[in-house]
Amino acid sequence: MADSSLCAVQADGVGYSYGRKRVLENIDLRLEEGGMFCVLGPNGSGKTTLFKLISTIFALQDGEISVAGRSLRHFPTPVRRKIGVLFQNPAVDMKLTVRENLRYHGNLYGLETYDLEKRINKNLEALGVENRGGEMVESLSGGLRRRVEIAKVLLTRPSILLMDEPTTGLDPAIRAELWSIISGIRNSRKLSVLFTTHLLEEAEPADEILLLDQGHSVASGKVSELRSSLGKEYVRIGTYQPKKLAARIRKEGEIEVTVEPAAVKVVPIRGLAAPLAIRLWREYSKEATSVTLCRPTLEDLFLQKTGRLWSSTPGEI
Amino acid sequence: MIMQASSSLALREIVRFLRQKNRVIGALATPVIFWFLLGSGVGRSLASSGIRERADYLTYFFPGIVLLIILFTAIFSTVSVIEDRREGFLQGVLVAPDGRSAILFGKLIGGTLLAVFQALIVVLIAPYTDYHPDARVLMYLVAMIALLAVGLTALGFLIAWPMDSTQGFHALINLFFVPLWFLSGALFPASGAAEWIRTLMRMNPLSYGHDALAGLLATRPGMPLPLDLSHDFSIVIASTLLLVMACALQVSRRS
Repeated sequence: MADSSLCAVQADGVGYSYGRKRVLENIDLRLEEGGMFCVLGPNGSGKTTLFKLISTIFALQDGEISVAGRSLRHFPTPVRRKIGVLFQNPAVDMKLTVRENLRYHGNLYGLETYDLEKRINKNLEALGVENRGGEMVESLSGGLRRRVEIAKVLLTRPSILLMDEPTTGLDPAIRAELWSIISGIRNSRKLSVLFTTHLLEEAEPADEILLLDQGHSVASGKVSELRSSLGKEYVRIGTYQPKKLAARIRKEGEIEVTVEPAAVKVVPIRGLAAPLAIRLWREYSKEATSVTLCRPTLEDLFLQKTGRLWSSTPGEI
Repeated sequence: MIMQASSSLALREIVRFLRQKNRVIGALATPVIFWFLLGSGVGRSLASSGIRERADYLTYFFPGIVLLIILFTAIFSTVSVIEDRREGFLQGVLVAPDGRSAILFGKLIGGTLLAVFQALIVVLIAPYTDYHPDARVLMYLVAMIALLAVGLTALGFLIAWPMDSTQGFHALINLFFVPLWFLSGALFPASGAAEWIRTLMRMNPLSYGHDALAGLLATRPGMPLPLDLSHDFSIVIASTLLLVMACALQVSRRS
């Protein structure tokens, strides 16, 4: 096992089964203190199971997880004092007001009344919901409910924030707003953050990622290093007839051509992608709907590791 | 810390109950209507066949109705375990340091307070039957009602905890709770029943709860307490403790 002294969360050889169904196999991860770690995977890849193990909801079966230097197997209760957990479905009581929800949460953690009220006021203000304290949570929008939940989770001043698909069900504008709030909180409170997502773009700002597929780790490391391991920039040509266009482009030579849904991916074997993009646009402008100069993405990484497109992964029913 | 967490969650149960007006009306009105209609109907039918007087049956049926109120409250307060799980609230509690104990004791305390409150409201009807409980009897009544409420809430909790569907919960409730109530002496006395029914009634801890309630309500001011009261209390306490321990064991287990 690696040294876990400066490690907020460390998992070694974690496995889990629901009855006979194996859903996680030999998973390792390491979140540095103050770092941001993303568990990325399509639906059904085992992200939520891994999250429930780290957040102490599920008991460990195989492997070890330590949080803030403490083993989850032996010390789940002290670990719970260190973590703040944001679930996919908001863990707030819809029939209570915003302030009541925060108060019950504080009481659950044994906070004293005076201190609790001070923290509630501070957190509601920090999350921009200070005027909503008396409103029933059920009357708030999805974005506001998330803010209330963040305010609630931060009441206990956790050092590690765990989030399971925190932007599920939110529209893109609210999603961006939420990430900006989380980023601000992370910096101001020096939080270590571990989150799961199935949205590729949400994984990009993370310091490190773990890419899961069907319960297995298919890649892990720093996003920039994983990207550069994929090679050069390339050109993606949008088209209604990708097979036909790919056959024509292949004749050009010194390029690798891959057919994608409604697009053709062209990677130069020698030289740079930018001049190739200009040349391809000139030559195939009639067939092409767009020509884009691309850097390798996490989607490319997934394709390379699994042989499948991210968009073709099976969803949960 | 567990006490603070549990009492906070118990308070939440009460606040949620009071905010759902339909639940308040349903919990109080259903047993009273049930008592009046069934008591009057069955009483009159029995009276016409010369077996019993209508007023007698309303009086006989009254302790059973107090028991039914406790039962209804236990069902409603434990069905919220499933709702809490489905709506996501429960997972937030489970990741708290003492969340598992807090949710158990919160539900037990909340369910018990609601049951005692509702049952006492109905006990106010007692003087309109043939019962006139005094302060001493009321004290024992509250203690028995509280014990029964803790036990039945624990039984409901035990059934609700592993479930994720309220429909499934109600199906099991009909299977467990309703026969328990039928065989407690609430509807008919054991004395006239078939031998195998009498055996089942003797094995049913609720029979002893019902016996205690009926005995206490029949104790007029100045009369000594029922002879078998301590026996009834012992059995109800033992059953309640067993159920609470079973709940504690169940919540301590993680998936």
